[in-house]
Amino acid sequence: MIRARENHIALRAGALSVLVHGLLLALFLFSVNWKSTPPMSVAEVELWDSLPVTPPVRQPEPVPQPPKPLPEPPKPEPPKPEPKPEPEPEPKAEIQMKQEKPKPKVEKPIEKPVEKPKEVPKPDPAIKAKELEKKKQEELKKLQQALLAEDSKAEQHSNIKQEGVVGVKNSQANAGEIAKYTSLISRKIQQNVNKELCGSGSPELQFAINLMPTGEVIGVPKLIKGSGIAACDAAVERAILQSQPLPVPQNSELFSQFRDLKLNFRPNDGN
Amino acid sequence: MTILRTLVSIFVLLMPLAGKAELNIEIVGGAATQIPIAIVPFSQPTNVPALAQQDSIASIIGADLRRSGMFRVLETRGVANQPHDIAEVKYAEWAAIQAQGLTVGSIESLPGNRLKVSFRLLDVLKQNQLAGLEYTITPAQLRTTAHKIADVIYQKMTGEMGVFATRIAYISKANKRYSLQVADADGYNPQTVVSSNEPIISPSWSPDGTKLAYVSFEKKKPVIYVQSLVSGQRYVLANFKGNNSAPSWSPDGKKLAIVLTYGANSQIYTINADGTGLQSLTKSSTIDTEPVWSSDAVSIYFTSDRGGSPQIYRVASSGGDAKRVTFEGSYIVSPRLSADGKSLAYIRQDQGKFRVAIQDIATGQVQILSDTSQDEAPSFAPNGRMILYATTINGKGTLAAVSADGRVKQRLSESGGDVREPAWGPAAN
Amino acid sequence: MNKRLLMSALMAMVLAACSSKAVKDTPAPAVEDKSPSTQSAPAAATDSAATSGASQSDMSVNPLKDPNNILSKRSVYFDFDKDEVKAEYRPLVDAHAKYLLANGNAKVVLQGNTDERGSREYNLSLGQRRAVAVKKVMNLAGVQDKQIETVSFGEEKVTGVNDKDRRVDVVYDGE
Repeated sequence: MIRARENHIALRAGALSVLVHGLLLALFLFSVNWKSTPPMSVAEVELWDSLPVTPPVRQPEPVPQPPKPLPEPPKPEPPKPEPKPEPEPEPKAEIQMKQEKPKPKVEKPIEKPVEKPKEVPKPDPAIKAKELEKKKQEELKKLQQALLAEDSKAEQHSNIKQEGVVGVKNSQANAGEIAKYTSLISRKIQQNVNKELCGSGSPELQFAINLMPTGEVIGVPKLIKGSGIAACDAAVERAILQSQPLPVPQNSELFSQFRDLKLNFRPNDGN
Repeated sequence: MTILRTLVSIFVLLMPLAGKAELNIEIVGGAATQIPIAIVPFSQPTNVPALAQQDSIASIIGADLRRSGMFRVLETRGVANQPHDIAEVKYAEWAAIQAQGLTVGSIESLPGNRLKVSFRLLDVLKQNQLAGLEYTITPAQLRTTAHKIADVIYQKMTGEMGVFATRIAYISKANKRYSLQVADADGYNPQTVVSSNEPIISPSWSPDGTKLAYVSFEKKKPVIYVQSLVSGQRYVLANFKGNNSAPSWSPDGKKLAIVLTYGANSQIYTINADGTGLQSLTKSSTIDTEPVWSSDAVSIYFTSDRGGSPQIYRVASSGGDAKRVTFEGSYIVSPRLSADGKSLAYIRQDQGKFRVAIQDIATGQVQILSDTSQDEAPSFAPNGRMILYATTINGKGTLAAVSADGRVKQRLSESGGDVREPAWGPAAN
Repeated sequence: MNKRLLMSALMAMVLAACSSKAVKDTPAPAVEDKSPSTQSAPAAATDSAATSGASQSDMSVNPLKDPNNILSKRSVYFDFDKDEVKAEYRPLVDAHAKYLLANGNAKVVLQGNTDERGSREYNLSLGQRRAVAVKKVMNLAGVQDKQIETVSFGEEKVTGVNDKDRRVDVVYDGE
């Protein structure tokens, strides 16, 4: 150990190092996801192949039986009116009358059990989550190493300092950028919201989403607050997903603001 | 000092990341009005003539969904890969054309001239299945099956009951002959229930969809008949002195409300479905007519001019004082109630034009729905979303439909005679 | 009420006297004159009845068919959504009432009609009320209900000419 009085600077350096590590640890505990790779350029194209989404169902599921098959009540017969039994010129009706046959045969299928093949990908979200966890851990480690290295270099100290100063000056510009992308995202999703499915009241919904720097949604949107109308919730969720890739800033620092979003909907308001 | 500054700088740099609150984004309103859906033509056997002679199942489903106004049915021909089952689906291709829903299916031959129809409804964005069903049918049942599939799709995506597999009744007048007809909700497959040289009016479906009550002038005066759509048999429900008209079934199908004149003015009665047990409901010296039951059977709404001009009133089905419910408009007739009991539709005269209007029963708010001008006989779809009615276009009686919010408007084209007096049948049980 | 009856009876007698006089004056030409007048009468099936009536008795030009007689006019017209018998039609209704009083075996059916605007059921009721309104005028004149029947066709017989469609037709049994 270093004796406190002997090496003032060393002590301070040590304290600083501990402080920085502590800060970082705290930050990572509150889940800051950094990608050390530079963000890709965001093209307005569906990059479905790169998305860690559920793969299409591979195996041919047994096709389910309908809950009630089609026993049709026999087609109505056009009767002759009592007082005037003229032969009506209704050949069409006569022909269609003769569909009584299916009745006896149709009785059988009713017994078949009802089975809908639920899509397979139930385990997949879990796998996906694990993959994400892994990534997070890796980033964390990388970052910690990078920062540890920075600690010991004076040059990098001044770099950081410069960036910090610049950060203060640009905070207003950042706010402007954030507002711009917020508006872009809001408008793009709004275009796809189908409020016809949301009844006549004033429902409010809230979804939470996680974005990749490409603007794609990670996994599925999470419903925090529903409208009370299932079709409305589903429609809004579809609107979010259909709006991919969402417009997000390319700058990684700004993008970090958009990584986790809360989307608040009032589909029947406005207009 | 350097270290202090460094510290501060780091703080500043990291501050936006430290304890960062999630960004909240507000999205108000919604511009989309239709659900984009793709319906891939079903695969089908080529050696079944009955299939070749009919519209394809995908086209019937597409026409149904399109007609509802709730869907935008996308063109699928441009997509190279045409799947017929879930394993063949490449979701990216369908997402690329902005589809949210995708229907794939197949028709296979079975022995005994039967067919197996299978389909799946898929969520393109979440890449999962919303519905999958299989039917065993005869070729003659293809249209009905297509309508049932359209119902499933409609229900899964809108949350509302579909009505594509329902039927409508109406009267067609051609060459001085009147026919009461029943057709599919899309107008196909009309069949004559009864026809006559004298007018037929006011068809009314029994709640179970097996009978129609109607008014016929074949005895040179208006008489109410009840006819079974299953057997074709009919009987006279009411032929009292004077006029017998405006039959309306109670929700349990055991009674009807009717209008008699006994040679004096029109008044409302109830009568058992077998013609017994006539009971008086209204007693006034004016016109009381067009009774309709509420779905909970508690009330009967009707038209009355006891206030000087025709308006809509409500009375308890067990009898009592009637209460006026319409206050906007000087001439209002033909009350109809939605199945959920929340809306009242009627015909209202405005500056000489007779239009379909809808009133919110709770709030009293009124909206004029139709843009045609000689409207009569509104009839709610069983899901309350569309209102079918009769109008005159270019001098010819035509059926039209308007959505309960006025957004979707349709004309039902009909070759042949003047069409009038539509009645939308109940949902299939 | 009695005075009215008396007056009506008197007038009926005068009418009868007049009509018989006419026939006495021109027996032979009466037949020829009748043909064009019967053809111009509203109901088609009455031709044989009228001519046979004429040949049967040398007594009466059927006043119901005589175009010079108010009784050949059979329609009372109404305003939109109204069933009041307007003053201008009172003489017509009264004339038919008197005829009925004079001819106890005669029966009429009052057929109510409306134009095509509005609902068929409401118009069925409105047509009925118009018929009843005419009946009441006849009742006031002393005619009993056993000689009058009311029916309504609502808008079912519209011609499309609104003003002409809003009417009650007086149709005698046998026509």
